[in-house]
Amino acid sequence: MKHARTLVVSCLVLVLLGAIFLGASRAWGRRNRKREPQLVVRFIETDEQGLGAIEKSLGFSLDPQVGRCVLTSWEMVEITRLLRGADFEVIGHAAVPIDTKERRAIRSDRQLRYAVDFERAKPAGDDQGATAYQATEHDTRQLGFSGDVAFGKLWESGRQEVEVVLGVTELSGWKTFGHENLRQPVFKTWSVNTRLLLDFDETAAMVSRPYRAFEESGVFSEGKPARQAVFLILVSLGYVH
Amino acid sequence: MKRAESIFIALGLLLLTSFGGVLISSLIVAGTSAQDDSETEEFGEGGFPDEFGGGFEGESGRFGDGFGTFTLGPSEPQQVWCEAIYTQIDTAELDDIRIGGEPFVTPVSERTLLTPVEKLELLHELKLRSSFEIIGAASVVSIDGQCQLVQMVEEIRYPYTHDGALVSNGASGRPHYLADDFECRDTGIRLNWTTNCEPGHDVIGMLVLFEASRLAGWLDMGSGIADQPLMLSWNEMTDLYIRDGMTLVMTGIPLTGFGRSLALDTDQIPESMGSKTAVILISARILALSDAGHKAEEGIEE
Repeated sequence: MKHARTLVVSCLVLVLLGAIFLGASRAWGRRNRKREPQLVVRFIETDEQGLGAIEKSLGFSLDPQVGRCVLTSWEMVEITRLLRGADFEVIGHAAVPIDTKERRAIRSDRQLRYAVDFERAKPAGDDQGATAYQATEHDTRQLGFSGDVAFGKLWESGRQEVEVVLGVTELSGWKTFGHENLRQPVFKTWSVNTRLLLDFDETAAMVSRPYRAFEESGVFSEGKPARQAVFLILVSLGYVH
Repeated sequence: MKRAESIFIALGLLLLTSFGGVLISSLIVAGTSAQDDSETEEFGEGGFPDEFGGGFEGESGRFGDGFGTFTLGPSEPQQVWCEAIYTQIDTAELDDIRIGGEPFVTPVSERTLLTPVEKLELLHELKLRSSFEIIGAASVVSIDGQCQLVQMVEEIRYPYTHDGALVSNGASGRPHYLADDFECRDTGIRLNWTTNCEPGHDVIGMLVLFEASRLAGWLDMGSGIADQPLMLSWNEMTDLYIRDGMTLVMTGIPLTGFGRSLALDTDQIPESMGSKTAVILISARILALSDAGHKAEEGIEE
């Protein structure tokens, strides 16, 4: 009788342990399925004050000669909180799942179509009037934040090779040549092309100060007051949340 | 009793089997979450997409198809942070700058290699001068041996060829030729560099291509030809070595007469182009494998 009771208790304990283990393994499986890796790229326009605020919050400079430019996930949380402030304009933000071996494109939904070839079209019966022009060929240019990302080797250390081609293009103005119809766009463009290694939950921060011709106003952010712009590019390797 | 023992052993085996199965499946899941090395060594097609102006395609004034070679060795490559700062200042004001109590520029020499602290001191001193301006600056993190490119440009389009016949522009306008084709030129800053680090050494070899150009104005060509851009450009290609964490300074590149030597109407040359000196700072640092985590731990300990 005693042995039978021991046997029953043992069985119950084993069944209980098995159930706990099964549940834990399923939860682990779900967690793995949810934690799909992804690359997040951000392009932020700010100024020296904004950059200073970030560095003050982090407690170190983003210049790795005196600080560091590779950030942990906790530090990115802090930066993300700061980015909601008025000093920062997020020009571009894209999250790209990396479960792919193909190049992934980031495209904004804005395009500018402009004429690149013209022909004369004088109005009928108006010999004295000005010559009019008719566009015969157009070109299209992507505006806003766009780029391409591709993923390379995953090293044993856990670091992922990433190729990043990012850019921002906006219409700077128009230049007219002889006739008001004969005008061509002037584009301002910032772009970077690099390949880097990132560990999961790491962020690489890169700082640029744009060409001075851009400085008359917010470079890519409209309606901002004139300032010495600073671009902050953040490339993060993390997981889908 | 024997029966109870056999049931107990059977249940134990069942549990072990299920544990082993789950363990193996977990390992499989972990394995599939990593990418297959053999299939991911090659990146996709390189180069800039069209919206960046075709970038590497060697159009007017553009660089070639990059000069970095990409070969994956048996060990993980090093990662390098590089920074280039292109500035400009009145030559007279540059003479007054001192670093660590010593003149930055003397009649016979100038400082070319700076420690991080000296670099900050130089930038601080430069910013105090009214004529100082940062024309463009960029920092990039990249795998050693890779070509990196940063460009900050305005793309100017202008008529390149014209129709043969003069076109009336009405009573108020001037007659002009109809533009046949348009050309595109970039004005601004383009930085292109490749690093070469020897494992175990703290010297970074760098091949730097630098291009700066600006639109000085539009030239009135007369005779019905559309205005043509007057571009001032400066290209530099240099092969240099920097000790890890140090900054190389290149100065004394006078822009005086930069535009006037073109023997064009001097009224069209901006006055600001006179008596300027370019100061270029190039910095590089090898990033440790676990730079973020390691430094974060240090911070916690502190």
